[in-house]
Amino acid sequence: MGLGNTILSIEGLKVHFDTMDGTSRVLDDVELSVGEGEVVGLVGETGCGKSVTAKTILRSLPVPPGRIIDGEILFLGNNLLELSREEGHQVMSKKMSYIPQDPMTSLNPVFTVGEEMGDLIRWHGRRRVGPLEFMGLRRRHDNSLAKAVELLDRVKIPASREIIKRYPVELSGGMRQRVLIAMALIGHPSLLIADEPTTALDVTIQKGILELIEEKVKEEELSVLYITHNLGVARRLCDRIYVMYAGTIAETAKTEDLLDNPRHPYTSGLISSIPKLTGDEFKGIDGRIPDYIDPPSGCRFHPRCPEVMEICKQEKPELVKVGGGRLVACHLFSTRGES
Amino acid sequence: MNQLLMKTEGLCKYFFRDSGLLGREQKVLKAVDTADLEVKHGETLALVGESGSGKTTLGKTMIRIYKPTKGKIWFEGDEICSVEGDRLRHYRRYMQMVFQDPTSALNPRKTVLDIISLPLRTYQNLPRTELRERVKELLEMVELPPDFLYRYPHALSAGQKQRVGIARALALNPKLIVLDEPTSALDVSVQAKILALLERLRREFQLTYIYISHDLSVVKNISDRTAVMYLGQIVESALTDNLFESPLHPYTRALLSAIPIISAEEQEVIPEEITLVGEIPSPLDVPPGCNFASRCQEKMPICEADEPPLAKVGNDHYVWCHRYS
Repeated sequence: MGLGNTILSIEGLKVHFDTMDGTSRVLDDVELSVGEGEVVGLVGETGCGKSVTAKTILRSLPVPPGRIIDGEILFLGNNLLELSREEGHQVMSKKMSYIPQDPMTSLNPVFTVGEEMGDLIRWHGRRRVGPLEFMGLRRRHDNSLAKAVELLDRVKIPASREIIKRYPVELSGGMRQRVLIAMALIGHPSLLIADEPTTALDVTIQKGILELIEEKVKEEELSVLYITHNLGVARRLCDRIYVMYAGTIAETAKTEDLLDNPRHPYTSGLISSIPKLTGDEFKGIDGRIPDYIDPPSGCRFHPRCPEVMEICKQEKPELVKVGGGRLVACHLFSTRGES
Repeated sequence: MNQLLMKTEGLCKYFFRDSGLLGREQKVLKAVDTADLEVKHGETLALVGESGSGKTTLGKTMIRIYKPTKGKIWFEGDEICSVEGDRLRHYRRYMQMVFQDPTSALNPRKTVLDIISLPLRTYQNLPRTELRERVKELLEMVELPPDFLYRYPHALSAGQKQRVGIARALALNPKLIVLDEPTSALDVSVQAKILALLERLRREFQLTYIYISHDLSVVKNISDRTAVMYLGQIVESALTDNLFESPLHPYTRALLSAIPIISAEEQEVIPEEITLVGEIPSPLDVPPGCNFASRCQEKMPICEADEPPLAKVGNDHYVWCHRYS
């Protein structure tokens, strides 16, 4: 798996949310790993827990209402869930970064691009601020603006010297997303978590952004956890894909294997739902994502599964190896074992 | 079957914005600029383009939700561009629309019954029981159970809301439905179901669709003809199969090559990789000549000077580009 060491590994992660109607059991035993230099896709439909997973890794899960019940998140050998705020910050701030989903709302509208980036460059990795600095009476002598320009050049923004003087509203969606990518690259992270960074963009702009991410991954030797609902985007970017359904990992495999030869009935359903340019017939999956307050017993996919068996309603399937580095959580395979 | 249902000639929709001191200057936003289109009975015409290309405005102008600035529209042989009042009302019942965002298209304070029956109540004077029966029928057409009648939109999933939106559009037995990205807010597994439903309804009721979308994979699968828009203008229109097999306009080719695909077979279908540089220019300040010239990799000197003429390059295949004139 991957190209050597594991940089991020999640084991048995359970996250619940307390709501007015009861406890919503969102993540149920999520297992996931990202190898060094590997681009891993996390694919699933709306409401399947992709973003909750990302937020839990980034320790930005709102607690309460969220509650981490169980599991561990190992990042560079540290269990992030056991670290204190301070320690966690130390481990994460320099090594992990994040590209948010919505470029329209992720930049502060009252600062120029240069101010916002400059702030981040100046304070990156620092925890304490002197009182004079805090009040803005003493500026640290720095070259943050020059560095911001350099970063913008790295994400191929034309006229970067002009752009740092602009406010976010003056930039297009694609341009803002490039700024956010530039900000994520400050401080040379090892792991980049990208939460659907191209969803809000048009296809021709999306293509440019994907090419940029591809290039940066190679240049900076990044590992990436790329969250998306678009299998086409995942195919282009990812070495390996996790398919998530209703808070559980349904299947993982190398990108080509997964797309050409899906094993889990949900993965096949998802792939056959996508309209294809070759004009093959496409059909959806009946039903909808289950209610998390009262999730189906056994396998969470069983009420929608075309190949449901008796055991699926009672027992939760474990992730089992099915050869070629593939893992599938489905009773169709757990009985057969290695195939 | 191949009779003309709707035809537009030089259809324009401009929006005006006051600017300058005391609003003395007026800026013109050409949302739709000289659109010539034909829609045949029973076909699905797709309008594709990126956000801001004017595809929704064109759809809305064609069915007179917006009043056109210039140009002509014929609906079943009648000129409807300048009709007003009761005559417009008469045509409107045959032209319906399904909106992009199912959540904001339904009034959250009304029940499904109220929502679907509104067009019936405005056009026909039916007693309550009959009205309810008709709405039940409509619910059945869109494959929703009859007990949805008294539900509110918040109790429905996005897919179900879109079905209610479709039922409302069907209520008056329209001839033409403008579908404005009806599945862009939905997951793929739900999208496939909605598309299948739309296709079934089209066959059953001999409907004609104008399908507005930015998703080319969907368009390829459901439409008969496709028109590609860029910055308010139609740049290429052809039978869908022809367009995907031999795209001519540089923008169409770039658009097709950018589709994220999921298999090697599909890779063979799309054109060679083209990455567009730059951004769409502001529609308030369109450069002279061809609108696409600023991003085109095959531009010639003439492209920045003159507007491209229409060229017919085959059976029902039109392209607006200097390369083909």
